[in-house]
Amino acid sequence: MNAAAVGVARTSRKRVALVIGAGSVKCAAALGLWKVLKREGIALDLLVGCSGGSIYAGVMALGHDVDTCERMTRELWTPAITRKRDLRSVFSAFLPRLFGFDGRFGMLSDDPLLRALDVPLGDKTFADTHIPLRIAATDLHNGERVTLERGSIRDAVRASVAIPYLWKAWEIDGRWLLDGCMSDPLPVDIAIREGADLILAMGFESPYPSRLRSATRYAFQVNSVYTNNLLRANFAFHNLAHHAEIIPILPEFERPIRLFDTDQIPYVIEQGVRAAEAQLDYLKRVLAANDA
Amino acid sequence: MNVEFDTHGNVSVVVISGSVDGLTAEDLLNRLQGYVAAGNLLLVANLAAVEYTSSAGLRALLATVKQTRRGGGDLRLACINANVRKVLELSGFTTIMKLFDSVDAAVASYAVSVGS
Amino acid sequence: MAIEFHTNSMRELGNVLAFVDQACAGVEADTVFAVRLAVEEAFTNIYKHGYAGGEGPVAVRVDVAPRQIVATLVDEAPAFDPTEAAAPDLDAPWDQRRTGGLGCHLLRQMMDEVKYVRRERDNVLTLLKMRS
Repeated sequence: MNAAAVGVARTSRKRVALVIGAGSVKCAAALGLWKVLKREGIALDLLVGCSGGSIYAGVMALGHDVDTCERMTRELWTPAITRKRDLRSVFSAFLPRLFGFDGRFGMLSDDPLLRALDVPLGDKTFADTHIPLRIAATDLHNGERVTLERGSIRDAVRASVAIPYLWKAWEIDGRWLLDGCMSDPLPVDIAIREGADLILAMGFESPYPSRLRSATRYAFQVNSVYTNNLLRANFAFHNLAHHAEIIPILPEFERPIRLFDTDQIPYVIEQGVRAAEAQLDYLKRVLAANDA
Repeated sequence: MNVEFDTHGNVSVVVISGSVDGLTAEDLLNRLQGYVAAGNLLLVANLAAVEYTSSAGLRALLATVKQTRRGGGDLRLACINANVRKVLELSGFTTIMKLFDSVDAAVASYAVSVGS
Repeated sequence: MAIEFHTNSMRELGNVLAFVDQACAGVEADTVFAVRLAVEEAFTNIYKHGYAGGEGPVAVRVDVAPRQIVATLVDEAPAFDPTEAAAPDLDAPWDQRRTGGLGCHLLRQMMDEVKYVRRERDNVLTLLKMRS
């Protein structure tokens, strides 16, 4: 079985894709949606992840069960990954000639992040996935979206979560890649291009941190404003361009879920279940409908 | 504007030449729709001889993409020149369609095995 | 030097585009491409929306200067600003959605300046493209 490509369907069964947009810990809601799909016997034919969503898309695509995915991602995403500063990088921005500034500025060292990603993803590649996987990143030099679909999953996720100013851009195949959010925080078009018939789009509005105390938070704030406008603009177009249906699954959170609130993951997953169940009837009707 | 159809195995190649503008796009769309309705779902459009397209041309292409995908197929584009590519990029079409440098590469892209 | 081309229906699009090509003889290919596309999109919108699919007079003028090209379209349809994009139809049933607003979007992207003015009895649309 070649899981690397969705290809052209040979049966009349509709191909279902799940797109998990950027949202850090909130992306765990995708596990809630997945629980509902499994319960109803609805299989996924494609997983697309962007930024934080790429972590979940990665572990799901590798075939781990829901509980294992929950544990792996909870253990991975902790404040420890932002604790270590990258002083050399900071200095190089101010004294470029002395410290060799090469455009890949990031305030934090990515060692803790890489080691954390190694645990669930190890040396797995896109070819090892049970469900075809695509991960979205952005080219640092021209701002274009880059779709990753081969090679190391860990590297692809590292590139996709590279929030500007926090972590350095990551190089893959000669391109310097940044957070997928920058080009499109909810890359539904990747699923459209692969010919998915039904697209479940799980998007989250980025939080606006209430107090801008540190440089880290300021970088995060800038990222959030940009993300929301881009998400809305692109989603309208994708709805027009798709041949079948895009169903937004938008979990609601009654309390703020901050960047590293991993203790809230069980609540987040439950909200994902609720959001999925709210759309379940419509989803089943779309799957059962005959095309014009 | 001229439209010709050719086959490469189970893939159909549509060779379009001339300008695709507000007047010729309707003709293009009608011919494409008829062709797809006849059962040709795996399409490649060879745009090497298309120097110009407006939004009308884009709509004809998009309608055909949707029609083929509904049937489990696709419309993929090959040999796009710089001007036409610019129009596709500005409209956001390059992210929702598959583009190739040559007709052979586009045809070959259909020969990928299906994931279950 | 500038000349005007007068039309009365959408069917004359081909002639209008030929007119633009002629007027821009000797201008860099990329610039001509952009002006031609913008004129087509504007022309089409005037007939589709301004004249609601019917017929009516449109005067197209192309001014070629060393630093820029200015294309002007004058029509007598009811007040209608072609630079306002048609809203995407998101409420339509999912199997019947159309694409719309593409033309206006392209027009704004291709031109350096787009101006609309409503005069007493007509609309004037001015498109400006800087030459490279």
